[in-house]
Amino acid sequence: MTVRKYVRLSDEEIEHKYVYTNDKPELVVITEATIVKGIDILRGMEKGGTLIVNTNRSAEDILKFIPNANLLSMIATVDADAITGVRTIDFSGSEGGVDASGIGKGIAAPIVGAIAKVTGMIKKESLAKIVSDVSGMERGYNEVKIKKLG
Amino acid sequence: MAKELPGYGTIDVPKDREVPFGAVTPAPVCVQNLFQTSNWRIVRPVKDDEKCTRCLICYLSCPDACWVYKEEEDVMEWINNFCKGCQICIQECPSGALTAVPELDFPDGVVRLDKPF
Repeated sequence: MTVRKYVRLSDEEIEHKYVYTNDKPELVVITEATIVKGIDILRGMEKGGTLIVNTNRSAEDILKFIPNANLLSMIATVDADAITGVRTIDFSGSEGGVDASGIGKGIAAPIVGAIAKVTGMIKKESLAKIVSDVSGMERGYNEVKIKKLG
Repeated sequence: MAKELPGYGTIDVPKDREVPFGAVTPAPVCVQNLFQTSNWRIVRPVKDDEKCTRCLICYLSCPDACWVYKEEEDVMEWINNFCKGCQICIQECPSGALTAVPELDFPDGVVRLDKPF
């Protein structure tokens, strides 16, 4: 079952933490590549957006499954599963997320590093202060493959 | 109408509450097309017809009724629009005829719905 989450970045402290959704995203990040086949991940995006996918496949393999890929100006792939090696599914109820509190654990660290590299919305140095897995974040920053589209 | 129950007496069953003997009714068989969950799965079961012994354990163990035995061709058919990739059939197959293959290896087989559920 797919889940949509939204992230808010700000230079100042965010005081109003109300429920916040974004209907016109410029950046879409996908943590499990298979969902590009089943749903319209670029829903609401206007032309010139960016897509970041956690996959070990090439960008062309992913673009094959996106019919409205002409909205994209950039696509990036990062192999977060290989970098951290953490994604256990056990049936004890925690599904691998044994400690959900904390920023940048597991596959989130390389993905967040990739976001810093691809978009520049956040600086790598700021991330290194708050992320739990700094080496994973650095590897994601270095190993992301970016492809510019038309 | 009055029904005679041995050892109990007679009870009055209304006409619209009558059921066949033993209350055996045919199972309703229908498929709805609004909520097809093929986009939930990450892996799909791929069968090897040589190893399959037609034991029907995959059909019995599937929680979504996604395996069907085709009598004429004598093969098991996999229904793709409701399979959620739980891998129970892959675990339960006694001859190892099923393997889990990532869904992205196949170009089609997933139903795209208009609204994401």
